[in-house]
Amino acid sequence: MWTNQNFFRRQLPLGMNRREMLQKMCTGFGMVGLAGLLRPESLFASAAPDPHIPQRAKRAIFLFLNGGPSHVDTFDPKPALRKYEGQQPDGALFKKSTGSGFMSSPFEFKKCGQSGIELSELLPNIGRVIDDCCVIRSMKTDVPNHEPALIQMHTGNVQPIRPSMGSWLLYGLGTENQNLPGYVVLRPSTKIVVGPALWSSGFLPAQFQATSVVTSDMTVEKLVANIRNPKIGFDEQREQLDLLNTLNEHHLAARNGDAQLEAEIQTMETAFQMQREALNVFDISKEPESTRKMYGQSTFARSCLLARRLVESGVRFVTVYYTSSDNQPWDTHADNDNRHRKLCADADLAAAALISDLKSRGLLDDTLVIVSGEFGRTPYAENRKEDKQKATPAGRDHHHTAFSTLLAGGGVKGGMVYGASDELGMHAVENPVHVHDLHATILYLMGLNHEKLTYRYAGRDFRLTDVHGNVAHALIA
Amino acid sequence: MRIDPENLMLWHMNRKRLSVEEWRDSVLFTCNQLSDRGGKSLELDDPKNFRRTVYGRVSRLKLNDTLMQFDYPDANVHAEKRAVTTTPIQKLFMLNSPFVLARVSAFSGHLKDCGGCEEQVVRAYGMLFGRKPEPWELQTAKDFLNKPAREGMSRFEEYAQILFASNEFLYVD
Repeated sequence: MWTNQNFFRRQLPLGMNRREMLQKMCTGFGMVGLAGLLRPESLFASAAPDPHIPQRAKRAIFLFLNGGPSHVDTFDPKPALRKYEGQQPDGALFKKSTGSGFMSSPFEFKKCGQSGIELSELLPNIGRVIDDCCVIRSMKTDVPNHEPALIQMHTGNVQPIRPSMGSWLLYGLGTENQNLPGYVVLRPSTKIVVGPALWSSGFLPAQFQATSVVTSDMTVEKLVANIRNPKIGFDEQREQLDLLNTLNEHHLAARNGDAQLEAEIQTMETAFQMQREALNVFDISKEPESTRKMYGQSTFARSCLLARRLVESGVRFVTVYYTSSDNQPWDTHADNDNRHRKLCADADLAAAALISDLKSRGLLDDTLVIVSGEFGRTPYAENRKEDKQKATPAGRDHHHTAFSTLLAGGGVKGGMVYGASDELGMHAVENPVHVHDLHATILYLMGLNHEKLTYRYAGRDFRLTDVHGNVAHALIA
Repeated sequence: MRIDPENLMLWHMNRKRLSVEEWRDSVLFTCNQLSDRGGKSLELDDPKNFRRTVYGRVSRLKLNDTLMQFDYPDANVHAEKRAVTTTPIQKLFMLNSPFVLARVSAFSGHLKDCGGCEEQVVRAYGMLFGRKPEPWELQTAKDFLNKPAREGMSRFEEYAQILFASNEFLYVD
C-alpha cells in the first residue's frame, strides 16, 4: 500500500532528505519545486525553463480586447476592399453573409515610424512606438464565436477546463517575487464573457491560478481580497505571528521537521510580507500625475499602469481585459466605425503608453507585451434587421480566418510585419499564425519548450499547445 | 522516529491536513456555531452561513474564492484527488478574513466567562487540540495575554486567532 508520495521519496538521491531537497531545488515556496513535491509526478515532467532556449522575456502583459477588434480598421490595410465594395464574398463562409457585402475601412492608413508599417489613423500612439512592435497580420483561430475563441486564446483548447496560459507560465517558471501573486488578472468589472475559466489553473495545482482583481474601484484594500486585517495594524500582527511561529516551531520539532509543516510556516511569513508589498504595489496613486496622464483616464488606462507596476515588482504574468459596462465592447456588430473610433482612442493611448513606459524604464527588452482580441471582424458588412430599422450604421461580424495581433518587447523583432492576409483580409495566407503557434512562440520567448512543458492529468501529458503549435522563429530578434 | 521518520514503513497514520470542509467546520464547531441543518445550498461567504461547508454553493462558472483558494477542485474538472497546496492567499484568509475574525470574536466571547486567563487557555487547548497545554505553552500564552490591551481586537481574540491558524489545528497526526 504505497502511496504516490512514499514512492516518490524513495526516488530521492540517497542521503538527501526532504529539507535539503527543498533548499536545493527551489529557492522559495512560490516556485515550481514545491508543486513537484506536492504532486510528485509533475516534478519530473520537465517543468522548468529549457536550457536550450534563451529566455528573452521574463514577464508578460496581455492586453486583451474583448469582443474581437476589426483588423481591417486597425492593423491590416486592405485598399482592395474599395475595389470590391458592395460585392458579396464568395467561397466557403462560416456563416452566410446577409449584409451589403464588402465594406472598406473609412480610416486612412499611414506609414508609421522608421519601419514604415502602415497603421490606421485610429492608432496614432501605437504608430509612434511601432518600431518596437511586431504586427502579426496572419492570425487565425478555429471558431468564430466568443466563448470557444476566448477559451482557445487563453487555454489552447476550444472547450473549457484546461489551464490558462498564465498558469502554464507560472507552472514552468515560478514567480520572481514571492510576496506577490505570480499571475494577476485586471478587469474593470465582474462582467466578462466566459469568466474565471479564462484564467483558471484547470488541473494544475491551485497556486497557479490567477488572482483576479476588479479595477473599477482602485482603492487598494478593495483590489485584493483579505489583503489587510480591518481591525489591527502590521505591528500587532507581527506580534501575533511571532507567537504563532513559536508554537509552530515546537510543533514542527516534535515531528522531525516535516517539510510540509515547514512550508506552512514559511508561507505564513510570505503572507505577512505580501500584505505590505501588495498594498504598495497595487496603489497607482503613488505614480506621478504626469505618468497617469500619459496612460489616460479610463479604467483600462489605469489598469495598464497598474500592470506595469505589477510586472516591475516581479509578477510573472498580467492580463488586462478591455471590458466596460459592455462585457465585450469590441464586438461591433453594429456601428462598427464610430465604436472603433472611441475604443481605439482609449486603447491606443494606453497600450502605447505602456510600451514606451516599459522602454524608458529599461524593462521592454525582457517584458513581452501582447495586444489581441479573440478573433477579428469580417471585411464585409453586417446589417442586422434591428439596426437597419433604426438606421444604425453597419457593423462587422466575427471573423476567425484572419486577424491581427500586436507583440512588443521580450525578444520580439521590432518594426516588423509578420505574415499577411489576402488582399481582402479574409484569410491568413502568408505565414499563418494559429493561436497554437502564438502560444508556442510566447512560451519560447519566455524560455519554455511548448512541447516539453507538460502535466500528467487523466492519464496523459497535457500541454498548452495540446498536440499542435509551431514557434514563429522569424519574428524573434 | 529515528529509524523511519518519513513513515515509509507506515508505522503510524500519515499526517493529514484538514480539507477546507474539515477546517471550516472545525472552526465553526469549536465556536459552538456549527449548525446541523441540511437542505438547500447557500453562499459560503454569507456571514449568516453557519452550516457545514458541504452545503456551500458550488458554481461551475465561478467557483467560490474561499473554496478555490483551499484546493477545492474546479467544478468542471474530474478530480480523482485533491491537490494539497500551501499558498500565502490561504494564510491571508486565516489572518484577515471577515469569517475568521467573526469566529475568534465568538470564541473569545464563549470563553470569557470560564474563569481566569489560565483557565481560558486550558479550555481553548482542550477544544482545539484535545490536550492540556504544556507549562511553557501556558506561560507563553499568559505573557501574550497580559500585555496591554489594544484597539480593534482583544488580546484573547488575537491569541485565539493564532490558535486557529496554527499547524496543530490544521493537521491531524
